[in-house]
Amino acid sequence: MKTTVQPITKLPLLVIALLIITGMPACQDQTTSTYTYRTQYPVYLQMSNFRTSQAVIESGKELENPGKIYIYNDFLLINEPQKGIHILDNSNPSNPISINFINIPGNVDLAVNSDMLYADNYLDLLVFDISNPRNIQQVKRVEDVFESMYTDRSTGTFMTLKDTVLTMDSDVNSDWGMGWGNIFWNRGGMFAMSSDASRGGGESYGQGGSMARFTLMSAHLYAVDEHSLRVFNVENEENPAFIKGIHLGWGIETIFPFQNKLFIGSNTGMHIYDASNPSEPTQMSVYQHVTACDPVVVNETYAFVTLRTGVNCRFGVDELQILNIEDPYSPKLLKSYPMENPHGLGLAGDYLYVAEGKHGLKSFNVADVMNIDKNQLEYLRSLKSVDIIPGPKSLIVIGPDGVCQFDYSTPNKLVQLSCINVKNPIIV
Amino acid sequence: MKRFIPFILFLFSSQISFAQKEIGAYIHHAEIGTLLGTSSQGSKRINFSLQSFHGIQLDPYNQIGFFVGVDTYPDFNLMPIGFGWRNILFPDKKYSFYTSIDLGYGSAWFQKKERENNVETWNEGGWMVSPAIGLRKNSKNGKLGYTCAVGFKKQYANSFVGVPITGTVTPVEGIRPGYESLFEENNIFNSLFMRMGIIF
Repeated sequence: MKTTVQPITKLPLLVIALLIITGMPACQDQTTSTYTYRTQYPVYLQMSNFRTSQAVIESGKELENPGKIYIYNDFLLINEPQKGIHILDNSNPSNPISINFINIPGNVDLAVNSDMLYADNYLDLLVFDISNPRNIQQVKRVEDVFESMYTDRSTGTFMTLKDTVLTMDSDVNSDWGMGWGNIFWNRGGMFAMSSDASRGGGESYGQGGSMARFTLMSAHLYAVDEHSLRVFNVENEENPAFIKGIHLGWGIETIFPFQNKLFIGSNTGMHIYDASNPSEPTQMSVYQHVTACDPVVVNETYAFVTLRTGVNCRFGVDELQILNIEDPYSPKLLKSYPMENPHGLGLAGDYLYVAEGKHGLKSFNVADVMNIDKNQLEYLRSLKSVDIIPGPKSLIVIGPDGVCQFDYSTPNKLVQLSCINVKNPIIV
Repeated sequence: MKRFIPFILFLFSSQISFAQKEIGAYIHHAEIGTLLGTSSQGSKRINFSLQSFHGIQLDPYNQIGFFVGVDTYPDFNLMPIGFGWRNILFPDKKYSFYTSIDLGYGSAWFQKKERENNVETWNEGGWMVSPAIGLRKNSKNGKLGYTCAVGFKKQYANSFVGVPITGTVTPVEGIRPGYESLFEENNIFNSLFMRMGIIF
């Protein structure tokens, strides 16, 4: 006789086994907790370690986290903060090609003067001949340019800060753990902005202790470190000669030149220096209502300043301010326009492009500075951006995901040409 | 032959044979009950549990389907959703034991992220597994059934307190992107549950 009673599957056994296994901890809950935070720790280095050899030129590599961007003829020079400089062939903005990478530890800024590239290497300034960007030669090392970084001059020791993440584990209960929640660490990072449309300087995201910034004007190299302005004569391009240092106070973060004037952004305000005598810059005014988070672009008459909310930005407002700087000795605020979260900005003639962080990108016609809000041309919400450089061939938009180029020959209609994706996107 | 088996079963169980769901029939099993457990600090907890199983009769013994429910835990309201399997030992008797396994994910989606003074607080659910043994009482026409079950439920769930990054920063490995600091609590809730249910 064939039995039709199915053998009961093994499922019940499995269930009973599972009941025993999962029931074994006697129904007590298990709680573990971790507290993780970003911070920076100091790293002490010997400058002598970096002076023994020349900077290494490597083959082109992927962008990780672009800093300052500089347009040089058909080439883009893109700083990788603390690591070096990428050289990209941008003769076709629709297809920029990475050519090579100059490995410079501690590098955060760059400037180009007559085929000479100046780049900082922690305390020193390196000079490269880039007349042929495919065959770059280091021609000079100027030592101790940013000497304020020294922690011990006699031993050549200096300090830099490194981003890190610390984690504390515990199997404590939540009541105890929540206490840790109050010890939220403030990142020590600082921001440095400079966005000089006419010269194609870009924004840089300073993270480490080295906050050297420099710019070129009238055959002079102006370098700022945290509290001073240092002037070099570069009439002999290969051999920068230190002229003098000018004390500026603490928290100097950006510098940009415009028509024989230097606009220096600090934590406490914007310094305007007259550099009509290039070797003897003199202070014209300090505008106190502008702080470090405030990128500025300038034309003959007006300064366009963005203020935004953020960790190191004190005012807690998001707005675009228009200053009249016809009299550089007393800049006057003309009008403020509310914005979403403005970061960098770029000025090309009468057209102003504002990077609104995660909110996108806005363009305005600013011919009438008192009615900018009524002359918004485009609001590209999907185009996250932190800075904008109006270049000769394209509008370069730096966003969290990469560096994109747009055709802006029709100012009210941007057309995307290319995007270079980055390996380690920044967070806005 | 067809009459022989019920007869044997009748003899075997000395019960009246009951009708059962046809193979392929839709089954809805709704249950309500309590979750009993001990917190990691040692205090007892009693929480509420609701579950609705929707499945089909695979063969006379097995039902498979998916379930969705609501479980409350201290500081957590989770919606478990997943795959369930029921095995009925004596499908054609009035009373029958059954075993079940539910495997799924307890989602915390209806608990919103709260933000106060630049501090975000939120919960995330996690995997759950729940084996059980139950007793079911079938109605005569096989359309209705009542159940009573005990089992274990292991539920993973995490709570977070984080300070989001303001400004533009370089990401660093080791912390969730977008956060300056993050306090993370990983919980495993081990509960004994008792549930009453109805099958229709």
